[in-house]
Amino acid sequence: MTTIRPGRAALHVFIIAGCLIMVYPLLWMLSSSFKFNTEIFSNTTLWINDFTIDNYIQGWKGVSGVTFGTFFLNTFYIVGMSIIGTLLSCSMAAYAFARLNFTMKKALFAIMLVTLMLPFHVTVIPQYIVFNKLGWIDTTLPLILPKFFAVEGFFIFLIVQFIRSLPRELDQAAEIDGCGPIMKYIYLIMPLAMPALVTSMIFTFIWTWNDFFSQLLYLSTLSKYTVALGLRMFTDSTGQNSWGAMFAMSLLSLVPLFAVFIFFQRYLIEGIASGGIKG
Amino acid sequence: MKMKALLIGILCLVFVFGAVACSNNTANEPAPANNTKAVEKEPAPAAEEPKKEELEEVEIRFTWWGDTKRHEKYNAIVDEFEKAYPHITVAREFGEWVDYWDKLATQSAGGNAPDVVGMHMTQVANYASRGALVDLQPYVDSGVLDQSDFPKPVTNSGVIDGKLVMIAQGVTMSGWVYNSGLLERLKVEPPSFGWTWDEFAAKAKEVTTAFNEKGHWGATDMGGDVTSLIYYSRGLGKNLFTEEGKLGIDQQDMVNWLTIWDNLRKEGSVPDAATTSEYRTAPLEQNLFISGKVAFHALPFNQIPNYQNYIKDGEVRALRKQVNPDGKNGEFIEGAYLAVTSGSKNPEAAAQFINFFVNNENAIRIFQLEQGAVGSTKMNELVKTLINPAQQRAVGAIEETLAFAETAPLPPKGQGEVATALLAANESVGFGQSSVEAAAAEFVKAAEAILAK
Amino acid sequence: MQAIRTFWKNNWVGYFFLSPWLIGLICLSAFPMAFSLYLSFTQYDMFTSPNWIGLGNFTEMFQDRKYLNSIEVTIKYVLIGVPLQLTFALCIALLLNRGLRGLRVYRAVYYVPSLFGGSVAIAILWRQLFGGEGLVNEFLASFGIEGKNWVSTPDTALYTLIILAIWQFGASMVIFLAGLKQIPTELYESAKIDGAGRVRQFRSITFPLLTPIIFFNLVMQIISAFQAFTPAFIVSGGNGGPLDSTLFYTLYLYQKGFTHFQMGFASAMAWLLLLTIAFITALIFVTSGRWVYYQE
Repeated sequence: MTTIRPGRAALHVFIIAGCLIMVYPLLWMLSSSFKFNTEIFSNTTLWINDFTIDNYIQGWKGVSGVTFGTFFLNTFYIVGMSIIGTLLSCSMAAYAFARLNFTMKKALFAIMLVTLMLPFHVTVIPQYIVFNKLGWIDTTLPLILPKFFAVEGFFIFLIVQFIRSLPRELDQAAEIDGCGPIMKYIYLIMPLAMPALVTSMIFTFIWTWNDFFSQLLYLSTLSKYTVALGLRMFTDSTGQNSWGAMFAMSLLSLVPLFAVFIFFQRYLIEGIASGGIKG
Repeated sequence: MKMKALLIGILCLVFVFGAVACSNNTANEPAPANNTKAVEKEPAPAAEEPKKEELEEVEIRFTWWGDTKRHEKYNAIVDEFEKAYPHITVAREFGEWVDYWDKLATQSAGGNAPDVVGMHMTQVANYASRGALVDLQPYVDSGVLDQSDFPKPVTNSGVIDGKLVMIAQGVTMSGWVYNSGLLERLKVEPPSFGWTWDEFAAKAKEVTTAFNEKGHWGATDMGGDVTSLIYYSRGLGKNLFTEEGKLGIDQQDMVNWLTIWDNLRKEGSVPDAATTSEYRTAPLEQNLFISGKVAFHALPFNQIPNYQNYIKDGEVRALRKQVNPDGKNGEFIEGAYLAVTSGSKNPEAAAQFINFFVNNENAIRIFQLEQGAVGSTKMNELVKTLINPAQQRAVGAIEETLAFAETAPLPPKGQGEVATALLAANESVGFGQSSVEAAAAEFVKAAEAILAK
Repeated sequence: MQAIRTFWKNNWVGYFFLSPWLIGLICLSAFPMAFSLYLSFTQYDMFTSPNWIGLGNFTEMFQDRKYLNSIEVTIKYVLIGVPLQLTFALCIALLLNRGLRGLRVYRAVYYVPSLFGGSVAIAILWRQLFGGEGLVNEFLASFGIEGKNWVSTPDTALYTLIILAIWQFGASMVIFLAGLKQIPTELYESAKIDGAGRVRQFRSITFPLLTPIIFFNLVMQIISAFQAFTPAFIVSGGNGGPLDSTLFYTLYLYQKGFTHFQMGFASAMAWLLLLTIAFITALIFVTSGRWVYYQE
């Protein structure tokens, strides 16, 4: 490799220092998850005096016979379906806004953005009423179905911006080759917008995973609970807290999030290597 | 142009549809007065067990707040109930305190509240005053809900606006605690059980001097705590919240109250405002008392066992809330309760469930001290044989102070906002942002406005 | 008839692709939004029917000291937090994009804070760090500086939340990285051949081609910063303290709606917020023509 220049070394040091700052809370949670409850707050350093894996065992047991295994499965299901729904519907809408022309396009785009601007606490009650009338309470339908209808305007906007950065010559070349709009969508734009799609997928995964409020409202039966809800049951301001178990399970729950990110981040690397179309 | 019109038309239709759907919903919710009348008009529910062949399958929903340990207990109790009443299935929903109330509010607004709900005095007015809870008196009268074993004050603590809307699962009393080991080490004599305000100030100062260390104080700052203010006003013979739901103290009382705590802060006997604010939301395991930074801490007595878990160098012992030597007793009953929502389709099954929960021996064996001393005296005696020393001390403290307790009006709608205003008043004095007089005036003005709604 | 046919012929593709979103809009979003707009003109305690009071909520709002305070807190948060967060995200993205060894690890590590979401653990950690006896003060003490209680003093509490927002810059960073990767590398190569230095490359290639993404992040971060709720909720324990210094707009909205059962007032607050955000976003959009460059 090249010789290490001082500038480069300094850069590495800086970045590594930054990493420590990013990661310190995670390290603290990790060390706490191996401490007894009584030690977690009496000894707040990263050093563990009495090591125990009890938190993991007890934590995994969950509540009343429903283990975190169930919670994880439930969450994976909801998250998986949300990703499919979001990617499909948002990419379609984004393609329409970015590449197609139709009347009222600008107005509709504005409306889409406006739907992002209303704080969700005030739409909670009317939405709950609607879902209640439909009889969907205590099912995963209120959590999943909206995703198939592109309610997450954030992703529409994100993908739009990415598509708009793609040069039009690619489109024109495709049209010359006889591609209609639907073919263009499937074979040209979507592959090229892969970084945006992967980003959307990662964010959908993480945000749906952490979206405890909707899960709280719409899931009542314990066996349908998700990881986020399960975590919230370990602490209660009026009772006893099981911090060790909570930290242990929180860390476990970060594992899939982290894994998804690590695994898919290489797709963020593959952008356009050259300016032309492949194949 | 035509498309625009069409789109607007569709949106209007949606709005109309929505408005219709919503008005249907509110029309379907039984108007409060009608509902209670309906309950009273029904023939008094039979007290004897209905013949087995006539029992139809019924499902009720029960929701509560708590942590994982409580969930285990409650689920076990519910299982016992289902064994005893095989025709009733109980669907269970639970979560932690904050989530619980968010969800219950939403469910109530959506007309989908569970049949049996955990209830607390800080929230009961919100629900009862809006007709969301059923009057349980008919069920008590007919014997479905047995309150014969409950001391009258305990049953009455669930009455608001003349209606019995909630039944006590457990009662607790508020007071102070100290760590016997810590006081021994500091060579400070523990105060008497019923210490006065002056004794409190003196002790706090004595401890701070004995500590002689930065970051250690005599007592926690309770100037912003609404329960403490209620005790104080009752000591004066008044009530923070009157029977009619108005403010029962005047500006001078507030000035006196805030001055007490301001002086304590200035003397260094209680922590500074920033520290108090930091630890206000800290979890129990981290609080100043457990880490040995304050010697006296205020809490509801049912939490004594929780604290004892973390204190290994002494016993956690109880004291009454500061007594007004020329005045009255401040004590009033607090606790956790169960109530039945007015939308319930099976109020009788719900009442049977509550009865089982608070009176059945198997249930109580599991429940023990989960929410303080249990309401039924007979059951309380049973519990005392099952618990450990710290828990016994908690029960002892509760029983001792219960003897001083008199009926208090339940906090009205808006009590949460008043509590927030009190906290703001104490903090603004503590942070030096306003004088005691100004803060007191501000509080009285705000509280009166809130309670006038 | 002919008009409809032409209209359809010209637009069917667009509407076809837009259809899931349109259906979602009409069936899932329109009713709740319209209903909340209606509620903002009413007094609604969630149990009894809404009670029309016209502009009552709005007049009450502007006489409510806490409300005005929450506006101030939120504006401070947006004006300070968003630019800082975006700058950090962009700088780190640029640094990480330089083909460093271990890039993947660094990128993942810098993203970790964003994974925490609204975890209760964050509140505890923030107190550990910024409390009276927290790590930050220990660190300062080693230089002989006595730090105050950052997280519980009214003057500084908000800044600890801003730091929290910056700490969770990972999402913006990832989006910037994705955008950087879309810039064709030959452009850099030809620039280097032409003798352009790094700064020049950034000014002439990177920045212009990145503007659509910068634009996106700017708009989205502003929209979400105005609606920030979870950090304030968990760190202050839900009450916006100390002394309302962390009372974000949506936190006060939540209190009004769910804790004080004044959903009408909360809805009024929500719609006022929407109008404000819409106005600011429109401004950004309108001025975007000058600095955003699309390859179209």
